[in-house]
Amino acid sequence: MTSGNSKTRLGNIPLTIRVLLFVALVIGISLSVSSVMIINSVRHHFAEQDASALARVAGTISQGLMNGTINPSAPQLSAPAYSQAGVLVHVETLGGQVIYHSGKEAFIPEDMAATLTNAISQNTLSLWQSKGATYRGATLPVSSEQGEFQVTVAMDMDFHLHFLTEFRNSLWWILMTTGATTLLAAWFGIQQGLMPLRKLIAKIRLVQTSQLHVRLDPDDVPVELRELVHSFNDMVGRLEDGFDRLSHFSSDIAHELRTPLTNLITQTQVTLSNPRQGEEYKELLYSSLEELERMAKMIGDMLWLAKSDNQQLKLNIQRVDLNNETEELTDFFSPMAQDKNISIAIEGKPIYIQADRDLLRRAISNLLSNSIRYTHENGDINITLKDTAGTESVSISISNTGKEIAKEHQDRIFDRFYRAEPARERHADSTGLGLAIVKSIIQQHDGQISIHSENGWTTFTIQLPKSITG
Amino acid sequence: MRILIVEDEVKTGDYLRQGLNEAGFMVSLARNGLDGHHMAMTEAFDLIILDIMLPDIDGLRIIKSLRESDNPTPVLFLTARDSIDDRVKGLEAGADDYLVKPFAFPELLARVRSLLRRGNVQPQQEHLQIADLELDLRRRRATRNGQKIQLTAKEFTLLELLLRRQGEVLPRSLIAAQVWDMNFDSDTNVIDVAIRRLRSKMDDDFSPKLIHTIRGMGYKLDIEND
Repeated sequence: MTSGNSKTRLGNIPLTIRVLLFVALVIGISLSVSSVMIINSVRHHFAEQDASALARVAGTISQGLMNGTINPSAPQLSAPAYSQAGVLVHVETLGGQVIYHSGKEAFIPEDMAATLTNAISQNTLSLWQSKGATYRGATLPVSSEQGEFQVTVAMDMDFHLHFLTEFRNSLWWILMTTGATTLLAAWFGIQQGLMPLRKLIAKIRLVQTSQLHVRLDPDDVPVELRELVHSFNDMVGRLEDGFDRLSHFSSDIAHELRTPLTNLITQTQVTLSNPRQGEEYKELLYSSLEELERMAKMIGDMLWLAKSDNQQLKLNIQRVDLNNETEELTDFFSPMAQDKNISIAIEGKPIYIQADRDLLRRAISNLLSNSIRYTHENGDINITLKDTAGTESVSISISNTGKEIAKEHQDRIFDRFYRAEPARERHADSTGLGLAIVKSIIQQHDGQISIHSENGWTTFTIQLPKSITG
Repeated sequence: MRILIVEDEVKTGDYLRQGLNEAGFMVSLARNGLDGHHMAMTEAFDLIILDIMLPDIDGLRIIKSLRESDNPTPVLFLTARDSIDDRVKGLEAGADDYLVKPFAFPELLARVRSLLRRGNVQPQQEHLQIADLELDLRRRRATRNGQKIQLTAKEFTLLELLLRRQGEVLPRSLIAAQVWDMNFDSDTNVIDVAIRRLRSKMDDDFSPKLIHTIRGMGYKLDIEND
């Protein structure tokens, strides 16, 4: 797992909390916006209602004053024709003489001039306070044959304001409840949504090393988790493969060591079972020595691989002339090649890379030795060095004529002790680890190795970066 | 030639003593670091073989003590851990060569001989000779019984190595390292093939035979009847 204090990172906030926080934020914003809009529209509605009532009352009164229906000396303004519930009316002459005043209390402040208007609408209404009450109204100038008048109409807003406060409170409660319910629903939804994940966890928990063949069914889970199931299956697949190889490896080691040991024991027992000449004992010792040396080499190779696996190898990086090294190695192997009348051709210009020279020589040497071993008499080996322009890597391919390697073996040919043809006589010098060592060396250099076999040619290709950090 | 072996491992010490004895050396064996240190400082040896991992006194200490008292005796140290650190430390302390355990006995013998030879520097030779085989090192030409032998460059180097160390058994790994710079376990069959080809050019049609196969050990160039 990655290092660092996990408690301080944002990455591990529980999904539920993340989603709930987000939902809460969105609900909060949207509910606040809609509550503001609702309150505003109610307020607007009241204002409109008030304006139309006031306009109608003021209109009828000014109409009455103008056509003489209303007598200024005895105005019957409380008559239903002129009045409306809640609308307060105050009529006075331009000189300030009050003709009519509805209600008991004075509701008009001293300075109403500012609110003088010719047409009453929502926008021309004024708000004012008088004796602890809030009023909304306007003053309309009326000039008629009976004289100049000022008709002031107003409404006591306390009722509306009270209603609005009440309304706002209950709206607040409704929204709170709605918000809380939504959050709860979201929480429930998340828990519900995470259910398949929990089930998945339970299933994954069941996978033991002894049952790595178990795969999860991607059709059992929601689409979103399918990718996870696929990658989990892939991972288990790789693990299974690794485990397989490892257990094969240990049984192979046992087998590879048991055979020569059995030989050693048997031939020693046979030799000792009867008195013999000195020459015969010598012969036994020579034979044992050869067998023991082969085992020692194999164990040395295995140890090397184990070290390489554990990243215990220190690369001694230096500048290496690939072309030169390949030529030298070819020179080393040329007696063997000439023995089988194999011709080796090298193609490529000098290429310099950063690498561990000894390890690289060992890798190329193992490949060459392998190629020579499996090339039939009079065959060909071609070595091609390529420095692809514009890339940071070079490639070395070693091709040889000879029997092709079947597809099913190609994947496993770099495995330890893997042999494409079990029937083939084991080579005295071959420990079955040569190609595994090659692969390991190339991987240590951050490179890749591949095999390609068709049309009578088998090619091993190494890709190496030009420079690596040791 | 007197050789001191400082080795705490009983079996290894015993076979080293026997092997070197039979190779014609006078061998003293110290089974712990204290004895080894004492013997190395008080007696005269031509070579010291030193296990670097000793239970009491570190092998490195012995090398340092020797060098601090201006004792130039060549030291070959044996290390079980083939970590580069150990080798570097040993060589820095003043050792002349090292071998990583487990090693093949012929390899040790070859190194011992090479270290002993280092003491008496031979003048730069231009000619090497054994029986009727002659090597002209400057012109890199080989003749046998006056007849010119056509050799490749590597074959000449191989023959030169065998000739310079005539009478010594050279293990295949040493030949691979010296002639082809192959410093790892390589396919030693190649050495056998190379020797066979060399023989076919300079030994098969001549007498006496000079290159001898020592089974289980390596090759030797010598005049002897076998």
